[in-house]
Amino acid sequence: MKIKSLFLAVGILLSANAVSHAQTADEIINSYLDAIGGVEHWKNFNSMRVTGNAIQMGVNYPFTVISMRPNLQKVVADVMGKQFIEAYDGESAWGLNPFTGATEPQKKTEEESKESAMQHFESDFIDYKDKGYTVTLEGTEEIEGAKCYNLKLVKEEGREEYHFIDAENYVPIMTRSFIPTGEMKGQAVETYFSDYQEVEGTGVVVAFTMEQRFNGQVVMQMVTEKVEFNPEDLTKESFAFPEK
Amino acid sequence: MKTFLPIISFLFLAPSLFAQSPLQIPFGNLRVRSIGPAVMSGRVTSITGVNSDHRTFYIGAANGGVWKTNNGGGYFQPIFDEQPQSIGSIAVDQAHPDTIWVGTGEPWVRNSTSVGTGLYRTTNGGKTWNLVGLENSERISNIILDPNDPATIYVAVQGHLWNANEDRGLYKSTDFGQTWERILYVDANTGCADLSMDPTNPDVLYASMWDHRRYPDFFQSGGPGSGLYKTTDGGKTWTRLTKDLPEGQLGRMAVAVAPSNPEVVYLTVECEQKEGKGLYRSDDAGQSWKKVSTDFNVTVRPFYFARLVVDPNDENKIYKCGLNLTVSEDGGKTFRTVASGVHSDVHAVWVAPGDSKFVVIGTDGGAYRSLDGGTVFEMFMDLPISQFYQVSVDDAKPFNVYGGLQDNGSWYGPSASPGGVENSDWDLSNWGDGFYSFPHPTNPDIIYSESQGGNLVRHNRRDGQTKDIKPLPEAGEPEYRFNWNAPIHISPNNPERLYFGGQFLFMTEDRGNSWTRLGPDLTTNDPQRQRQKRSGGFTIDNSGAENNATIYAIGESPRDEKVIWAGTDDGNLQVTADGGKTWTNVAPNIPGLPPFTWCSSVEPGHFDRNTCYATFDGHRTGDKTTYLFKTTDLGKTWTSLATSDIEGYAHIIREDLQAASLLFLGTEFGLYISLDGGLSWKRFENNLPKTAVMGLAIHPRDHALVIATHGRGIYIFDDLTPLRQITPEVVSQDLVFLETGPTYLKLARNGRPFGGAGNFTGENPDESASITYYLKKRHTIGKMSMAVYGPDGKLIKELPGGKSGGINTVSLPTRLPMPKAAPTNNRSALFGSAFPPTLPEGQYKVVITKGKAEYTGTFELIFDPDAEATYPAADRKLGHDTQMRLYDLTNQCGYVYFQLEAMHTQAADRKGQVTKKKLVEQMAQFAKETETLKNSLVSLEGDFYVDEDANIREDISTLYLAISQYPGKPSDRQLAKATELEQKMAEVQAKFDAFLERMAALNAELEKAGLEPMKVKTIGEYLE
Repeated sequence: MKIKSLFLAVGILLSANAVSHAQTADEIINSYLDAIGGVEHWKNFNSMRVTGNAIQMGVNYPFTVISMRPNLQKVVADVMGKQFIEAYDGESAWGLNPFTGATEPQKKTEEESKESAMQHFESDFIDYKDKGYTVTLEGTEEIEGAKCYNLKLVKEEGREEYHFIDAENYVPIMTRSFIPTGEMKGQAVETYFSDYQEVEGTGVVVAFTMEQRFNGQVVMQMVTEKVEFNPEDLTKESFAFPEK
Repeated sequence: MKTFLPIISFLFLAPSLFAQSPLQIPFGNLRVRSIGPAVMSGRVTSITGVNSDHRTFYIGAANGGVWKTNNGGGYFQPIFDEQPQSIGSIAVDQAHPDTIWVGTGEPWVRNSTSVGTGLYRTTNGGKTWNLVGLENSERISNIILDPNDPATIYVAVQGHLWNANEDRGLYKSTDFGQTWERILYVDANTGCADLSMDPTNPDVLYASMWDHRRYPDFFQSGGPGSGLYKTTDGGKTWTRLTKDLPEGQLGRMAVAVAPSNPEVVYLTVECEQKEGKGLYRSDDAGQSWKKVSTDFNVTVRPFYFARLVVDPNDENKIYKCGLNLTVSEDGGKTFRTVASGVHSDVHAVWVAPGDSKFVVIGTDGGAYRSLDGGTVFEMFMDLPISQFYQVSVDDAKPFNVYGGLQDNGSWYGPSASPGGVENSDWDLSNWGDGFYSFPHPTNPDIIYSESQGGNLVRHNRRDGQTKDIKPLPEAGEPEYRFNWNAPIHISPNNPERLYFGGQFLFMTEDRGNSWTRLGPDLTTNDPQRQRQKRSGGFTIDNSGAENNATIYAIGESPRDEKVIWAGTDDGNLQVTADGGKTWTNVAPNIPGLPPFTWCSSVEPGHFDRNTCYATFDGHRTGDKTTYLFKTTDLGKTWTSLATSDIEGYAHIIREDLQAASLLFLGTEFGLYISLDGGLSWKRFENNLPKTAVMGLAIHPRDHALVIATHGRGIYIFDDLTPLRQITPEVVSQDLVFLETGPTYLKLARNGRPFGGAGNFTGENPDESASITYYLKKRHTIGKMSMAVYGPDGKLIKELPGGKSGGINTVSLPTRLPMPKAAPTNNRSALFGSAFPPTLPEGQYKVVITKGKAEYTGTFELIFDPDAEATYPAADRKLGHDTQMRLYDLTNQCGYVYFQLEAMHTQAADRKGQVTKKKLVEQMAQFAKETETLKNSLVSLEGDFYVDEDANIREDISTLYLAISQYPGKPSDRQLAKATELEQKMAEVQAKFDAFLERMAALNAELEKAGLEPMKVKTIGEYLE
């Protein structure tokens, strides 16, 4: 009798397991959005400033990333005393790369602007259907030794990304996207996320460490030191191309 | 009470179960690097492209996957690495060029061919692939899409090579591969070897059916099933075309419709009747035929070359694959052979429909492109699809890698080279097909190599001379038989002893000048297995590829030179314990091993004379099971080490040289690693495609595993030491540092610049210091970081560290952080400040903080001992100290510059807020003078190229750059110049200090006026 009930218990455990695994893409997305603090929290934010340190080829340099709804963004890095900028002001992308000999900011091509416009302030998974995106669960995969759900996200112009959501903590461990143009077009770039922590006093959780890999090799790491939401000094002008 | 007994006994058993429980961990970011080479490249089986943009095309390799170029071949990228690498056919949906179909399993069925696992499709240009069926097809010879309906696809399944199977024939899908209908089938021995469609009427198709079979010892091309079939209704009904074609049984035939005039169809015929062989042409869509050529290249080796391509814009221009590529421009009457140094054995041709002069071909030695319609061809030198059979290493620094390749001889090249391992770093030691190749263990000038048929040679790399040292039968002895891949084995106990396997085991101790036969014929010596001379079927193919009843694997025990193992291709595994006098066949003792299964490798244990590992491979009789066994009693009893973790038939097993439970297994589908002596296995995937791993060599000095693939060249796993330390005790802990030995500060060397695109360059080993640790669980939530402290105990670097579950390797560059220099617009000065000095030699401490827990490890940096004599410590110290002086000067100059800038900006800013006229003037003066001094330090004018100037900032960096290029003593003048710059900087510093005093005085006035004082950083704050 006892053995029978033991089997029964095991059976229940197994079936419970099976149920918990048969999640839909939307359930996973909801758990993920909860894990990063909930959609309501994020909706309160209109802009953001992230400061930290980037490491590229063994070289450390401080960076600041500012972003604003819906898709304004600007990255400023201080590399060897020279300012390096990548930005999108809502209409066009522009940048300053002193290592190509440029001394003045330059506007980018229309195609590059289009690419930049696809980087949004809030998670692409928030209200993804309203944005016209589609998400499919492609199964589970082990990433860095952790079981992950593989969510395929299709964005504007059929642009595909794969998001690997940790099955234990429901945060992305890795996203895989593809180089959209140029000689390396179609090659995968993987971004790994770790050190998820709550941004003090905000209720939202972000990954404080990001690592970008190409062909399995680390090309850049970014360690966040400070995250500020709705900083008062941030305006649309902060993203604008500096006209002379 | 009774019911508790089983539970209690289970609890008691538990510890022993635990001890034997499998040890599997993620390999984390451990990865292998590819060194190519692409100089000889490898067999290309299929080529196709985008009709509307012929600069985009795809190359499919025999066992090297699919490569895509967007620029006519200037650069290729592999797009199929996660799938099996043997490619049969590729088709592009021309209306949606991001949709590509790949049929796996090559149709050119030589003895060494790999196997496929079905049909795959991508709809996004190769980013992701889906298996769309035909899983048991093994080989797909052709894929044709209906040009008017992309959902309709025809797939020619050539099918299994080594056994009968019913999955063969021609398949059709009308729903993108969701469902399949087999529309043409003959029998279980007859596959579809070629397919051609009338592009103007896609319901018209010609299918060449081929009856064939390969055995371990024989090949049969042709039989009753072969024939040419035509449909005019999309495969609903078929007519066998026989009119004007040879009577009797047929072999392998190529068929091609001329796209520009579909009434014209070409056919090459292999048949029972010798006189019927040749090229046939039909001018009425197959109703009648006329033999137009019997040219050698038209009829040669149909199993390997039966492919015809008609120029899409010229019905009379035909490309025929063959020993050489031949081209006819008069409808097949005459042919010209393509020269221009193209590798022999052509299997694939693609003529761009939009530009008939753009032709790409695939051979046994890579792919070539012609821009003149097939006269002059240039080779693509960046396709590392080389097909190694075996690999060995020497003890040079860096060590060299040796190996032989399918139809591409035996080569050797360095494991690392300045700027990366390039094609030009490789040299040839022997021609023919290459297999085993070994350097002499103590005389680096001597290389033993071989070509097929046991043609063993001793090559002297110093003078390039080669001596044939193949054993020859003594009077009265039978003819010697050697396998296609005859095994060479170097004794681990005596560097002068070399073994070579025929049906007998041969041994030499005088570099092959004389041979001793060790014992009798060790094979079954079955006459039925000795049919090589008759092999081939309707076209005799006596190349030696079917030589059988031969020794295939040899191993002398590293623990006892009298213990020798010899495995044969007909299922014997012989062992001797008396140096070859008496032998015992222990294969019958292996449970679960079918009789006569080919022994693919033996590995005598490194820790015990009675231990041996062996792999067996039955795929040549259709048995694709993984067979892997171990004995610990000289072969009396055996245990299987194969588990369900492993995919693919087994080629090679290697036991680690230091950790007895660390095993490496090469199968048809990759490299597998066991950390628990074979209890469990895990495929190693990090940067290693799913291709056949046929050779493995462990470097005893450098702890590297060298991986020879039969389709993607050589890969190197640079450091096995972390894997050697993985034990149940280690994996039970949250985080454990793993020892990796000292990191050497090596001399920097320049590569060869300006090669442009198109030349493969293999990756060099990482020269950073590596910090390696085991992490039980992937770190995702909460803070984890790493701090590195130098030999003096000071913090030198903070890093995020690796977060992967399993093994993490964090590379720490062996240079200091870049100095915080003042800006410049002078190029060499900018580069100068970009290359900081190396970290000092010594012991470093690493602290990982993970939540509240702290873990401490160490690593060591030492100067390359090989360069020690040339660059004595005292000279290096002088060089390094001088660099450090200039490094500090760079920082000091940067500090002064930016503080002067801060003074100037603040003074200019405050000036406007001040009311006292005198103070306004003082502030203005201060702003002006600080700016003048600031500007005098640097050169910001100029064009960053040929119009540049230099001030102190540039002088410091230029001198720094000159000194940092050399590891020894700087010149006298350089040393003097450093002192001069220090003096100059001291003068600047004095002026700056005076400004500091003036600023303090001004600040007192500003504060009196209720204004914020000016602020500058201390040098400590600046450098933080």
